[in-house]
Amino acid sequence: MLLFVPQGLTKRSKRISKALDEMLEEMIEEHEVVPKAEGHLNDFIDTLLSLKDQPMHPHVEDAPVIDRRSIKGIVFDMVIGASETSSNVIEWAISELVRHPRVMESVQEELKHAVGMKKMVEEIDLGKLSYLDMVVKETLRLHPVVPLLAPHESMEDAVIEGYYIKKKSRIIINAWAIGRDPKVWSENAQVFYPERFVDSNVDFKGQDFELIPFGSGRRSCPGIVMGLSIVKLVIAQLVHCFNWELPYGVAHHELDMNEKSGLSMPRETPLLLIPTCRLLHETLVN
Amino acid sequence: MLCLTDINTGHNQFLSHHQSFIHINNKPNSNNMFHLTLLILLAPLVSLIYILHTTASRRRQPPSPPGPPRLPIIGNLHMMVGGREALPHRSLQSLSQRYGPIMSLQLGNVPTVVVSSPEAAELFLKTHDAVFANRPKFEAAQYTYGPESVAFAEYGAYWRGVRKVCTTHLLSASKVERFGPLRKKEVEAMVERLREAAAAREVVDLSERVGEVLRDMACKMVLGRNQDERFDLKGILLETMSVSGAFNVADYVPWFRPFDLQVCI
Repeated sequence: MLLFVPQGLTKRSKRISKALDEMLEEMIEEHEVVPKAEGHLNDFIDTLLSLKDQPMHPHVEDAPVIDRRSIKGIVFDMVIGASETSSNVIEWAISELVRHPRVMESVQEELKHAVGMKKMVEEIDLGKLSYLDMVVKETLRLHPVVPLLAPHESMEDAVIEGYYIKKKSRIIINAWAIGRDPKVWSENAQVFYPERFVDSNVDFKGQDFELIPFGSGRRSCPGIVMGLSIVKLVIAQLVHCFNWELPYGVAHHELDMNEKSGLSMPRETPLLLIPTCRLLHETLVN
Repeated sequence: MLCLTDINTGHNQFLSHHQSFIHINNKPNSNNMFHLTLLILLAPLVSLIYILHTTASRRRQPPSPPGPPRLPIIGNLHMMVGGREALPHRSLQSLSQRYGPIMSLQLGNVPTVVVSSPEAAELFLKTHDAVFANRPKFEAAQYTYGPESVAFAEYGAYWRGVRKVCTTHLLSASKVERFGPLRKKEVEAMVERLREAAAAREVVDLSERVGEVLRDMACKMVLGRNQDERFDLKGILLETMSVSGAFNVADYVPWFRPFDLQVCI
């Protein structure tokens, strides 16, 4: 059922934009005024301010210049892009692992060998975790964070596969449907089965069109490397340090896997779990 | 308030409407007879104009991709969402199973093409990528930094510039590495808090915990801080995301704009 509800969306947009702009203005000003302490790690605002008033393309005449408004635009994108999307991937990965104890066991077994039970996972360990890589791929296949990607728009009339597509058409890519298509992924397309990637070169970097959670081409997500470094570390750490049980006697296969829509695709219901420590207590205190 | 169900019932409504039309005309009275005569006289003329028009436009251009029948004004907008069982990606998946991997929809006044196979995606994102590299303008984004953002800026020199700045100065491999210690610290703090919950055998809302950590990490990396006594940083971010993610009717049917409506699924 579709309901059109007066929610004052434009009013809300205007109000929140004003609050956001005031906050970013204040923060940027503070970055300009307050001197940096020794050994200060430059945040994105610092980096962007160091490029302010410079052309975006150093070698191109009339190239646009980085100004205050573009700094705010970039900063806004980065905060939203780095937090919401990555946490959705982690949430879905853990949900799938809890639903599939066999896969969870395999990930934990890999961590036991690669990292050992006496220490927490370090980023340097992540390169050794090939099974975890497959789990992340399989999670992104079934739960692409932005299921319809960000829409594209045609800039001129075009003919594609004999079909006429007029200028200013909106192009929606259903990455979610592609990831679950049995013609592409065989009959078990709906099943969470990381081993499907064992002898496969399919990757999500945008070259293999059966797996495009980050889009592809010039408008693809520029933050893949940053996002994955966070996602893999958090998943590895969560399953290495803890065992996870469902509360209230819910069986693992009964875990609700519905998604809700929005800017990204989070779980509809929060993921409620009971952790128990896997590693030695003193390891964690250190 | 407008409630519409899927195209099956839409189709049935059309049929029953059609049947009742015939039914009325089966009961002749003078007024109806006049209409009927007019219809009989005009029908060939209207068909001729229609046939000439469509053949002429066909000669000019190939057909649009196949797609479901449309309603007046909203087009196929009602098919994008079909309740809890059918979020947009699910509704579009079932439609594409009927109409194919390159499908036409009319969303309000926005002509739309839905792409649902790897081969078709490659055509739009690689083979003909230069034609499809723009982004549509969204109402909500115009109030925030849509036009200046990397994700939604119009295709052109400005967008190329900001994207370059992001990939070379903010998201490069060396930059990712520089923030390694920050990630380590934040993740370890999360583990420490979870360890306390484990000791107490508490039920943990992992969605909330992970969301919190990722937000903190992003804010520290981008803004240099994750808390600010002057602003409700978390509240502002969550409300911005909620507004940006809402399905705004005015994006598709512009004359709905004054009513400021939002679609609730």
